Amino acid sequence: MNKIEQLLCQIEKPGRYIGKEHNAVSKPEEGIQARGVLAYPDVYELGMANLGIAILYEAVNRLPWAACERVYLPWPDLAERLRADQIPLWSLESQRPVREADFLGITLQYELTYPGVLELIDLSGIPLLASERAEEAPFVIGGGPCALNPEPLAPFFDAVLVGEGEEALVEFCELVRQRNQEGFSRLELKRRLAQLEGWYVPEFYSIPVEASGQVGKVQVSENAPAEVSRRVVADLDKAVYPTSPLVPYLEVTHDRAVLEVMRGCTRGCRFCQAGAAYRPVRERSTEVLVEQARELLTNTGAEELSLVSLSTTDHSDIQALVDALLEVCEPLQVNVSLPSLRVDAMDIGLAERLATVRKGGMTLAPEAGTQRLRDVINKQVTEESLLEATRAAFEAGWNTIKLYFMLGLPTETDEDLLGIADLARKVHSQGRELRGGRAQVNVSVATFVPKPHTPYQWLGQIPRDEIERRQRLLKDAFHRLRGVNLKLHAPAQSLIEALLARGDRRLADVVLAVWKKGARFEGWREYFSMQRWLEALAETGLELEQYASNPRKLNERLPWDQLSSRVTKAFLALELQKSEAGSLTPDCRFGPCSKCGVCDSRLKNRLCRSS
Amino acid sequence: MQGLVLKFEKSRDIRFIGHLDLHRALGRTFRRAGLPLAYSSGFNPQPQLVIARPLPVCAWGSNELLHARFEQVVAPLEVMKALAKASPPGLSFLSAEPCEGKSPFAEIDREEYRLVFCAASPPEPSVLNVQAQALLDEGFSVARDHKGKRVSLTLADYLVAFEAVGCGEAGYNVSYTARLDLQRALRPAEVMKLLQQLVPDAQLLELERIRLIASNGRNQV
Repeated sequence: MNKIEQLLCQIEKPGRYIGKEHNAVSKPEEGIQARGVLAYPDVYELGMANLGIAILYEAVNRLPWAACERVYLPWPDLAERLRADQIPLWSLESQRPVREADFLGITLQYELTYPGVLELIDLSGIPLLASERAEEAPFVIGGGPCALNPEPLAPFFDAVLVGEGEEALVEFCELVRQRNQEGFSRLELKRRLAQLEGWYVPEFYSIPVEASGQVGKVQVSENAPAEVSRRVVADLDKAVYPTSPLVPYLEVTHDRAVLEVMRGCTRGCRFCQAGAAYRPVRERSTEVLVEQARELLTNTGAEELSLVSLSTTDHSDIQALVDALLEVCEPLQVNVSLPSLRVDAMDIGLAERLATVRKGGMTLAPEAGTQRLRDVINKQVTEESLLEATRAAFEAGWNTIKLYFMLGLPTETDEDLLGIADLARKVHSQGRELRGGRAQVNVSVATFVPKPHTPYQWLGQIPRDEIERRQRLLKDAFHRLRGVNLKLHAPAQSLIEALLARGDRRLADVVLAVWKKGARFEGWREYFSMQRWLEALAETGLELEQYASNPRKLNERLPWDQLSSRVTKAFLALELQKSEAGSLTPDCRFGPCSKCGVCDSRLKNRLCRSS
Repeated sequence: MQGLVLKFEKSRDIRFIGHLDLHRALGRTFRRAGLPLAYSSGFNPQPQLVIARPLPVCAWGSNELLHARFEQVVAPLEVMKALAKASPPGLSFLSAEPCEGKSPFAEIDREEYRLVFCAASPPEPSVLNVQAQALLDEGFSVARDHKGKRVSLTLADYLVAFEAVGCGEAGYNVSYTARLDLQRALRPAEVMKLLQQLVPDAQLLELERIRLIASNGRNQV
């Protein structure tokens, strides 16, 4: 019994650390010229649900000369033992130390995982700072949604991929392979990488930031481009997709087969970073999706097939797709599910056709409580259509409706907040009428975080005392509603999310300090400590409010301006103006081009059926 | 509806997988294999698969037993072939036999384990056996929390065989057989407590369930 096995006998849920899942790829050493480890900076059960990692794992492992393994952030009980026994973190497939790989690729899914990123690098025995890594050390690369502003983590990464990775990571592996064959330097690899579309090498960009937070003139070195454009896969039908995904032994979040029906959304909700970050809309064709579904079910044995995208029912051929998928799934007793629904009755009808066995909660996201505010954020949903949808859901047999809202949206008033309670009350009274005492309405209210590359990137988040006041207002309003549950997000976590989302490179010291103080699983309420963040900020002389709450001028340089989502700043500024006026921008799939700047000769909306 | 009793191996590689996770993995394996498993009826249908006895996390077993019920008649050989293609790493099926009745494992009343421990200077096997027997004769017991209550288990009531057989490649080998027909089942960790009473620094290294026994004459179901 080796040391790792001995450790595993003494910790909670050792199954997290052994790999051995069905469809895991374990390649022999021979013939491998580039070896990488993909990491998710949170616990295994969450990381296994990540589709991005599954796609990249497939893309790299399809290369006969490359091998890709995985690692997840160890739970504190194992991390403690690893440090005490000086055992470096290992990758699941080969059980070899992560630090022996050519690269460690860490996904940045949400800001509160940043301390977990440092924990992963440190437990792997890799120097935290890119500048301190030796020639033979693995390249630490990042990607994922937060790569649109990786500045608070910039010193810890050798490179960050902005955008979609299935093609870009293969190109990176090619470079690693060349380096292993030719023996050129670490710096030379980074130079060559910076010339590839989508790759940002932070050390080539010197970004001065004044004490006031003003970003100065950026100095670019090593011939890197002044602006790094988001990488986009033009045609999803031709892109790699994992139809033999890992089937975990452990019960993980979203434990089901996943079919990505499309990427991108042009509905244009102004708060939504994904709406900007995944344009244009690219649908997979029905034929490809049905074939992928068949393969997925054969190769996984899953009991449920989930159709994922930012807005699945927007797929232009959704009715035919659902018909075809039901033909495949029903004989296999497989449920088909839609995790994201638009707010209209047509969607409910579709969901009803799919929910053949159990009707759990139906989730709808009106986002704001009044029509005025929904117009401000360009959420093109009316109260009438919402109530039609909820009525249809209750009539179809659902007992529980979940409604998602945001607090602190631009121009929000107390009337808008009370509108949330009013809407919840109307939905609940429908439920009482149609489902009797079984009807339940769960309302979840998150605090709005203005994100980079959205029209609200120039705005600040409302201050903590105001968040708390508005939450109290909501609690009072909901207090009187029986059968309606209100769930509010912790204000402190939202503030830190805003701090990091809107942050610049100076925040790297804060992330480092907070990690040194023990921060690991900051996305978990029970492990989050605001005190640690406040202490770290005080030690580094930075102010939370300056980052989270202060608005920025339209003409000032933003910390993330060297990265382009391809949506132009002019479009975002215009959208901000329209938001202030409560004016709508139609979806370019069904109306005129909104001139966001993303489409060109290669990239455009690719719809299955153009009607 | 047809039933089969399958013998399978939960290998050393997946010994850190718990009982419920193993059960789910078995269900998916049958689905991948395209076998017409029967499902329970009701709100949340579950495959009709019953593992004879749960294995503790960290233990593996080379002769585990599973009762599977099918909606159609299936040939055991075809089932074995299909499962061989669909099994995940660490799980393999060794045999399949038709079985009638809903509870083929009701007669199982003993289980045999092999455990391996390490210690700085363990006594000779013959000495350890005598010492262990003496402790059992004295009524050595372990305490366990059960639904908020403290219960005590006297090991002599459970252990029908206990033998230290000396050092193997991995460490010091002990085999034991425990009864399963009492109100509670003895846990391997509780047998380790007996050993630790005699060898305080004994640390469990390996745990393997050798077989399940039906004492009605048949060695194994």
